[in-house]
Amino acid sequence: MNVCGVSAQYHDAATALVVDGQLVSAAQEERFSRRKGDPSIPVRAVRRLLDDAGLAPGDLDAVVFYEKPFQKFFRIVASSVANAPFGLTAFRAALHAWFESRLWIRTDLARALEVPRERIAFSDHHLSHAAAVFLTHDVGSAATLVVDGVGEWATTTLGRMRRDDDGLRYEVLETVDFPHSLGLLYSAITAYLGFEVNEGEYKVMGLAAHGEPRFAEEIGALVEAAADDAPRGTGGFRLDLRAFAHDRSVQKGWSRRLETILGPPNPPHRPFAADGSEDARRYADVAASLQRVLEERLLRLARRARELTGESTLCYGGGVALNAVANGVLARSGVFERLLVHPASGDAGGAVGAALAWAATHGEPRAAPLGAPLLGTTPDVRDDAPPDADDLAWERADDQDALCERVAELLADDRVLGWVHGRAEWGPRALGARSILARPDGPDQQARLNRMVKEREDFRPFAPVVLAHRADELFEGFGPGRALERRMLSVVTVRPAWRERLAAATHVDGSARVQVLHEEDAPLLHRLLLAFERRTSLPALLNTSFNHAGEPIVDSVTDAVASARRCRLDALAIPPYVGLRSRADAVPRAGDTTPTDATRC
Amino acid sequence: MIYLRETVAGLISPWVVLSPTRFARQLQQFAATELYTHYDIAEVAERQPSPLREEMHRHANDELRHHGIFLDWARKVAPYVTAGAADDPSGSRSRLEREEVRALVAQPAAPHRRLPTLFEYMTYIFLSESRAVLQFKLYQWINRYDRRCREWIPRLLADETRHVGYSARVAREEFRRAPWTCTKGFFRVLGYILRQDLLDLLRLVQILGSGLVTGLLYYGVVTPYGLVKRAFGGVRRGRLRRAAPTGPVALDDAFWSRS
Repeated sequence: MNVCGVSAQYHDAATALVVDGQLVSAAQEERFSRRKGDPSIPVRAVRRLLDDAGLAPGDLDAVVFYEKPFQKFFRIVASSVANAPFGLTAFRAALHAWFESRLWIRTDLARALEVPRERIAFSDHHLSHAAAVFLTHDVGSAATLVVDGVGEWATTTLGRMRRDDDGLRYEVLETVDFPHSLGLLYSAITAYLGFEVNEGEYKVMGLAAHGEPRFAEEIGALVEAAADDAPRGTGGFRLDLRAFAHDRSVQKGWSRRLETILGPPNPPHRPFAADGSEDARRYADVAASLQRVLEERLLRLARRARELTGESTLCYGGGVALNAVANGVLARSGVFERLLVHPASGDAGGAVGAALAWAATHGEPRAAPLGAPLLGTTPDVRDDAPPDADDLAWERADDQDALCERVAELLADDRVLGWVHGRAEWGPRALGARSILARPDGPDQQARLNRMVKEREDFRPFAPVVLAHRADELFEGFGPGRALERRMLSVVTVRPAWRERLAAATHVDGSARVQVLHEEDAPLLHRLLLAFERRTSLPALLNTSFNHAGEPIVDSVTDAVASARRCRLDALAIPPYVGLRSRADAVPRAGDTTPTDATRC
Repeated sequence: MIYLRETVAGLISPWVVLSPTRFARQLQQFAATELYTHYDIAEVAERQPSPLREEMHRHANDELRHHGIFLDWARKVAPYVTAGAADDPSGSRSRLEREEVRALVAQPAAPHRRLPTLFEYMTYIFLSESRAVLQFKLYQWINRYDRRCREWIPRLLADETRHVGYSARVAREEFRRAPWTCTKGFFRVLGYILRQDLLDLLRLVQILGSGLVTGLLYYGVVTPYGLVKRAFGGVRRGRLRRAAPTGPVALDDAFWSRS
């Protein structure tokens, strides 16, 4: 039985291929279209995954869309009615978007993917999120908590999922409906801080560590806990809608009242200057307060889920589950013995959940355990010729040991290096398949990489990848079983003795979004880390996604070569090849003269 | 007729200039046009004999300079609007965009399309540049309260006036060589420009028309219905439906086929 899951039309369109109940591949459309956050129907991704699996569109038993578009449309109509006469802009935008494409998704999918219309099925948004977590872990039953912007109607769903001989069982216990949404609260304040919605939420999370939560009380008051006798639909919390406008406007998700409480917003796209000015401090404090409130509300929801289900495992999904700091708080809280999170818990992951849930209810209820989430494509490296890039001097390593030694030597020599090996990662985190690697020490390393390589704001932190057997020596505060840290889904604390040696991968508050590397997850990267450790006594590397500002993570060798050029990486390792850039063109090191624009063109 | 669009644009320019965001966006559009023209003229110049080639290259270089002036101006008007500056501190994306524009210009014409003659090209330049001169003069006069408009526009106008002069001269010379062919060519260029203007007008009508229809629908149908519904407690902003369904979800065929 071959099933293709699809998520599209909002942001991060993606597809997943499930064969006989097992998840064989998954990829986001942006990796192929090279358009960050590409929301279009993932035609390129579907074709590529089918080709790699040796399947044709006609071999698919079902194409499962991750949500129910008509239900969503009814909610938008209801919101327009409830907001009249104040929601014209939202109404106009919705009408255009829905009548242009979203209402015809069945036809569009059938045409684009060349499958009969009757094979198109529709999941439910929050079911897809919950199933993406539950069905990729070997658990018999679990509580589910989905928190995101909005699905069809619900923004938060507490439920229970279990697997039995007849298939998958799903029970919804409590929901919170639109417009009360923790995801949209986070998005509104992301936009208030001048960042782009669906893109800047990571930046807000990073910025939070620079501030003090002095607005926590004010923001907390905007998220009221619902009274016990409140009707279902506002069960867990509700927003003070006088401060928000996400249901009335597509341009601005907050009202003047929020500005009265928090002060003037940072204009959109204005470069954020962490210059210690009063405004910069206030924005950081707002971010810190928002993060604090979010963590508190999530803890409450988790406790409620435990109370309602009595389960010891929580499957936590939805876009809000991409907040690694909050994940760490939830995991360490001990409310549940196990906290499970899907590596692509945003809308992209809905494609996986939709496909697996359909398969589970059609005779394939087995779990599809996901080890290291490397579900993407394999780079097309030729064994007899190096990649086509004449700006790099290519060397060929005789074997994997020689390759790792050479790469470790370059890294120890403070070179910044692109690393492309094996199948691409599934989800937004680079886990050593498409990564930029560098030494994690040196006080200027973070600024150097932010400015020269990634060309992004100085306050944004980098993540370390550490050998599993030495992780406890360097970090503390792991969640149960270190399951989240294995996929870079949680944040831990760097032990004080190591902060200087991990300066570039330690955030301003001493935290780090670590990847704990087991040999079976990425054997070659593990070997590289061992080689690096032998040379430097450092069992960790700085690991950041292999992309330039504004572009998706690289997928193919061609993307990697182009991105390495834009990032001016010192070297590019695509086993068995290592390409070196001449020193004059490479990333300047501390003490080097900053290149002028003329030398960089 | 052909100068109507620029006259209107010039007359409503205070509406743009007084808003930093709008003004910066318009300056960015001007910059993009200048950049495209730079590559286009440079490309055509390569096929011309000397001394026209040098004259056209000078024109192309002026356009590139204007591109820089407009970008710089936009940055000064509203730094947060330009180039997503937060994400592009080194300007590398701008360089990439420049390369894309160059690639667009360098694309070979479709096989069935005939390339314009030198007369047609110069007539097109003459008309475009004279339209630009009119628009900038109106801009300068109407927005004379704005220091930047007073200082920056004359720098551009001197170049634009020179472009009008040399393109008119070359077109005249070409006309003398083959008056009948050039007359036909003149109307072809005129038709092309008017067609472009008409398309722009249609786009505007489409935007305004759809705004009008959705406005009527919203205020004529949705609002009265919403007010009645709210009066009877059916729906309100914080509660869009009475109760969310809870309990076991039947994951049967009906569930999967329902959209």
